[in-house]
Amino acid sequence: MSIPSSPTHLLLDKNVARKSVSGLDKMTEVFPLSDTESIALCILEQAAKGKTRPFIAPESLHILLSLERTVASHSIRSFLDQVEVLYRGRYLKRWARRLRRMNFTREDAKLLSLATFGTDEAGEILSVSVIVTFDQRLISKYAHELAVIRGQFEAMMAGLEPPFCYARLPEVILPQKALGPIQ
Amino acid sequence: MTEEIKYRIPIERVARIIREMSAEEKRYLVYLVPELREVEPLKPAEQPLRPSKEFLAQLRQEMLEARGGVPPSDDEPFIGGLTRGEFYRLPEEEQEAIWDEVWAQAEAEVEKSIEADYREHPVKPDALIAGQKRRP
Repeated sequence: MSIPSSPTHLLLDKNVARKSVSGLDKMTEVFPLSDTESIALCILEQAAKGKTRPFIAPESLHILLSLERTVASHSIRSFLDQVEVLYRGRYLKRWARRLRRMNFTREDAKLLSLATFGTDEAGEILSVSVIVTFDQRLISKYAHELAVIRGQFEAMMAGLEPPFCYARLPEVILPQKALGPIQ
Repeated sequence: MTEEIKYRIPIERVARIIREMSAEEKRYLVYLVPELREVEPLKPAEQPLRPSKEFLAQLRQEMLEARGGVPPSDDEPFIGGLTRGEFYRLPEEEQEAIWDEVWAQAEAEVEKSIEADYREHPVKPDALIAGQKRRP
């Protein structure tokens, strides 16, 4: 990944979101952060510096809003103030179905498809560059099957109209790897 | 590596067994599993990434302000039916398990409503594609 001049668009998976929230909650007292919470807060720090633009899936938003009523409400609110939601754009379901046929779980297929056909609230972006996840199983499977995924993706993209024909596949990497070139 | 990474088989145990092997046994292992020669090893983490002290101080300030300047009390209800004090006195693994459970419950509860509420969001024809410059 080259050093970007504009903020890198990151899609945080639900565990990265969760670690951010539990890390933020520890800010109210002097509790030590776990390694994963530290990494999650590093992503927020890079976002505060304008180096990344972090997004979460609509599913994560709903979960956090549901939890906010009962659990760690201030840290959830703080987290939601620092990220944006990546909304489902056209063709997301179609690509998710194809990913399912490549034996990705339903949840992983939705996440991967959202990274490709997701957009911001204003509809001004399409796709994100990177999915950050602690899920090594997903990272490995995606890397292992990338050639097949690309083939299927190109076949599907051939018939799409702009801007969807310009959508791109994301990188799927650990947060610490995503932060490496950014910091 | 972080504690989040989980493997299908107990890799750490396999590693311990391999470390106890003689050089001859290791050579035989590579003979049996020649794919090992082609594997690119994971790089060990040199230093865990940490947010800067300034950013942590800023977050602390913001969190305190969000609470109206009142620091949290050990007695306030927090998560999984526990108070803050009870929760943060648990070992980290147990805290983790409680977060997992609470998150999974919330996920199960919202899943149906998310699917029922599925809508496609409009994307502008000149939308900026991630990692690319705006098209002319």
